[in-house]
Amino acid sequence: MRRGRLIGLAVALALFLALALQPGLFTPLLSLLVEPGTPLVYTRQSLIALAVWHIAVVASAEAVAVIVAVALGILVTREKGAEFMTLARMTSNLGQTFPPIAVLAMTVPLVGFGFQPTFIALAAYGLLPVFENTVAGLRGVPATTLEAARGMGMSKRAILMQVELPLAAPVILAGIRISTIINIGTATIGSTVGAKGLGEVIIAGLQAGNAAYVLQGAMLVALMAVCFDLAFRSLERRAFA
Amino acid sequence: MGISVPLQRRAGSGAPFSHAALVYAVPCVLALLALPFLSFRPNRIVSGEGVQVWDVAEGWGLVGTAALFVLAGATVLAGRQAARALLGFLGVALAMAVAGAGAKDLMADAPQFARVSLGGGFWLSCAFFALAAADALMRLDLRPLVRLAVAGFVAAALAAALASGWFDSLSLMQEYRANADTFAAAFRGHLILVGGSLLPALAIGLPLGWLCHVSSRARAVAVPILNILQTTPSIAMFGLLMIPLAALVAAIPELRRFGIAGIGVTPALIALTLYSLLPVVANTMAGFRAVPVETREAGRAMGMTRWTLLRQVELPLAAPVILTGVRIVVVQNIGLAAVAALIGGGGFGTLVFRGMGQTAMDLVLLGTLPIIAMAIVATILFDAAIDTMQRRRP
Amino acid sequence: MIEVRELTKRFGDRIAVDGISFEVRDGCVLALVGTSGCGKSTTLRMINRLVDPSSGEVMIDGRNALDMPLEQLRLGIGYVIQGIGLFPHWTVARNVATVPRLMGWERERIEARVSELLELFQLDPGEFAGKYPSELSGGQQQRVGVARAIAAEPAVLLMDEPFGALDPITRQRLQAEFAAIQRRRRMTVILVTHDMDEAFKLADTIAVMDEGRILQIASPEELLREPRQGFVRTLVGLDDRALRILSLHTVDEIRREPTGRWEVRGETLIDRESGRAVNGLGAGDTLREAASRIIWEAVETLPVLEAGSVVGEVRADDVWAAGGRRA
Repeated sequence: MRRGRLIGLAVALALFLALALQPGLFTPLLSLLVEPGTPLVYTRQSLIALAVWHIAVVASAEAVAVIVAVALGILVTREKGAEFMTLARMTSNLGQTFPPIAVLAMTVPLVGFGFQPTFIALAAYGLLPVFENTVAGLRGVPATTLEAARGMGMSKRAILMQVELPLAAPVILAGIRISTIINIGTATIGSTVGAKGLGEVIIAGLQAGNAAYVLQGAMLVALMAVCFDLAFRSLERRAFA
Repeated sequence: MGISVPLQRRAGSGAPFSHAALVYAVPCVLALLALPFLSFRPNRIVSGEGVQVWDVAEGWGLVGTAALFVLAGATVLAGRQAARALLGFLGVALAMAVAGAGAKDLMADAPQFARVSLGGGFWLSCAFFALAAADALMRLDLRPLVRLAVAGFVAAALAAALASGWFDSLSLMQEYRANADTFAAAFRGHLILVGGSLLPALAIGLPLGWLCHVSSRARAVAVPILNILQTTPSIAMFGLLMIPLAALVAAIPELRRFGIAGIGVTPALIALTLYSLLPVVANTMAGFRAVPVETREAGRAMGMTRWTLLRQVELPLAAPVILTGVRIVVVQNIGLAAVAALIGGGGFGTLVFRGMGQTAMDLVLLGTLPIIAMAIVATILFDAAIDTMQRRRP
Repeated sequence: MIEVRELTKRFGDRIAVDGISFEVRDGCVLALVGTSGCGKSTTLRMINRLVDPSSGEVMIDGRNALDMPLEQLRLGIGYVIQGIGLFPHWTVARNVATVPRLMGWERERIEARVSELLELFQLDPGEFAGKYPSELSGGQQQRVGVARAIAAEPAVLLMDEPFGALDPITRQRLQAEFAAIQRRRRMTVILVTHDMDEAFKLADTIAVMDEGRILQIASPEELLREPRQGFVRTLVGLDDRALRILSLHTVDEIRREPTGRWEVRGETLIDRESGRAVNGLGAGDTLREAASRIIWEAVETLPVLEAGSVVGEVRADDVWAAGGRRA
């Protein structure tokens, strides 16, 4: 299982890099899709630059989301914050019924087009799975374990840092993975509101009826998501050990 | 999305003073103070100028502002959850009433192309009041039927308010009137996308989930594939499906007669179906796995056939978890169906993307709000069904 | 009548059950005793074919269990397990009615049977029939589990650590209840347990198993008096075997005609020789209880009472002899 995952990761990463850095290699394949004479490789921006932008948007939003979500998750699972648990979980559940595209669309009137609406939508939407999983992970720590830690005289802080967070880590990581995957997809839609990213290639393809553009954009985004998914899953595995 | 199990119900608390209430009451007041309640544009070119809540139609403005502040404070101090819920709903109603009155007043002697849109102050205060009401209802831990009744009443009130003409001066409603036909078609299209993808997803996903439960080999093959499908971003999935379908139709043109094409509803339905498989399969598996080993063994030992055991024991016990999977799928697809508009799949996404293209935010909202409403309605309905199922056995 | 012949189960290279044979006559209780992993549960599960035997035969009332249709075989065999396995989504009544319903009984018959069984297990049908398993205590759940297993009067009742998950007090009460029901109903039972005391209390015959084989199969008394060398001795325990033997016998078996030394004065019973008030034994008390009382009261003889009058007496010598080595 583990080996399969690493091999899968290596293959997906190699394909992704080949497609992003040397799209010319794929022209024989792409030429099958379109009428002769149609441009095959997207050239308005280099694919690798778009990919880096894409990752940058997702990563920066994700960083904010993780910090806020984990802090909130810790807060509501403490004794003092217990009062906010119902509210926080309900808000989070409600938030997840908002489709990503709606979050994106509703951010635009507030901050205009470009990088910001995508960043805000991604950070806000990415928060929810991380928060849910942080709460689930921290609640999942067996009561007997906590009892033992208290009994041995560990301080609340030590229990959190040395017992609760390490035990909850795989679940929290799973939340970050889910959130990242969703955000890679949402960032693609972000191109419709003017954010730089790989969505640009797909949308250009759709507008021009150029299947070659659509395919390379879609492949790149899909491979990127698969790479992150597999990498996070390996990390989750390791966190268990 | 992985596996999700039904949320546990939590006991209500009737604390007289709620710190949690401050979390929405304070931002609610701040939003009203800091952000414009309405935005007025004399024509389509200039950008809008904000109107604070106390500046809207005299009378409505000052009284309304005061009333909104009082309501926000009252949600914090309310002694009973039922009262807090009621206050929350009143807050939403009042904010809407003020907005409607304000728009009517602004438009009374405005030029022909003037527009009044709703501002951040309106949206945020409404959202926080709604949150207060929802939080209070949650803590009341109502029975499913009562919850449905409350939701039905709120929906009816909202529909009556919209039909009354009170809001007709808002650009959102003007946009609706201008696009009523498109709106109806988008609604139909959205329902077709969600319903049309759910049925095949269930027809494939439920048996596949059962198969993955009983056969580790099936699980080893199916789950990674479904994971990759779920991982693929929606636009990419739509794009990737277009190509083989277009090729298929080019090769066998007769397929066109059945409505199959590279762009349009077909690839959208296929993509949504593929997205639905993982949650359905994962939750079906989780549901079956949660049936205690002893229960299953007791059934077998007492002479139940495999089919009887499945029908009388395993399925009823797994049903709430499976239904949770279906809820995830429906809510997820209501959102994803919006993206289908990019490949001509129809639905409310049509309005959203057209609005984005024209920088017409009210058109975007006209597409977005019903999507959110549909998702919330679906959540309420499914949660009530799941809850009913679980309450039947204490 | 159950006959098991040369029953064997291999899991890959490992032999879990190694050619064991035994029989259980109608109305008798056989206990399979051994440590975890000795093959006792696997043996039990081969009888209702939850596990398929690698070789060997199981005959139930002269019919080969391996030739019978699976569901039909299981409908005729009651099965109780440690985890109980009650259906959480069904009421107590519906749980007990499982097999009768599968067999297509009429509704009135099922309802009558369910009420009868609940009463037999001291669960008031009015109160318990409509409850769900999660609303019952562990002991109540286990009673329902047993009631469910015998609902359709199966030819055989298989029990795998039936009382294992209960606290000691509840366990003892349920064992006593079950023994009483068994005395009245004369069910044919195979009981798997690792608790030697439970086996002594409930079984007519005990088979001690280790590493897939039966080391010794005998009546409880024989097992105590003549345990084979090695594992059986360790398991049976020699330190208190005299007391265990005594607990297999009742006062009735060794009582003598009463002498004139006992005098009933109103509510109390006086021993004329010592002038002390004494409490009499019951005819159904075990000799272990008698021995304990003799030691505690520091007397040589105790009267046996039945319905308030002295019907006999028990002498310490006779008790010691019953529990001692046979000449």
